[in-house]
Amino acid sequence: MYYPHKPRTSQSFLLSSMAADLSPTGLRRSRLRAELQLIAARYGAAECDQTDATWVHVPHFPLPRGWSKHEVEILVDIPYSHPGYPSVAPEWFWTDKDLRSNDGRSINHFFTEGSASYVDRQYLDKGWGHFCVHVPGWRAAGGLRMREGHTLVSYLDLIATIFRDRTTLSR
Amino acid sequence: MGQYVINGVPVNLREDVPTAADAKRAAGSPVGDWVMATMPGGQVVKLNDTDVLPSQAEDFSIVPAFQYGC
Repeated sequence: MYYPHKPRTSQSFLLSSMAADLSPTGLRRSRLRAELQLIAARYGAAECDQTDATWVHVPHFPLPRGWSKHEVEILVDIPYSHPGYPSVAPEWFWTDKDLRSNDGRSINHFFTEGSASYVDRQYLDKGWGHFCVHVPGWRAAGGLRMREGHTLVSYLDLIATIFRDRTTLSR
Repeated sequence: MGQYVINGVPVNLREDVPTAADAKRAAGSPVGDWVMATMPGGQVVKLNDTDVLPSQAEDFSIVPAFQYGC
């Protein structure tokens, strides 16, 4: 990790060491940063909202055959109310609004217009459409046992499965 | 016994006729997860724990139980 070239006194070291943010937002942000490492191993580099920890962005998500693109961007909405992620699963993700099947059909369960939410309309206006997928089987992995339970990798694996299910998604 | 692609990752299953439950065990997935088989033609089929992994499947995924919403 890069540290600026600034003389560090024992007092400044103590302050920086004790500056862990234990707020719900801070804990969620720490969790997302840890999960980005897992995501990168399977889906390539990803980024997250460094301020409020409300989204994760995967810029190059590969698609199976049958779609109008070989890859899309994925933006996962991270639940941030109380309780939020990881106790609560994501249930909304955004992807390229112009995605179609490779024979030009639109997609079931994919919404590209008509939201009443101001934030959602902003996303739609920026070229995103969204899928809504509920995950009642979500069992969040513990912070020290990320491979025993569900993480955003599980959610991205679910997204990959959804994109393989061309029969269900075809209109 | 053989190698299967599960969630995009090759996984070795030691059973002669592996089932969906065997796949979950090998992948270290929660027992309540769903095993999905991608069939030729673009259909994804959910397997029961006792179902044998279909030999004609293109690949498999193990995911938390889900349903489409909105």
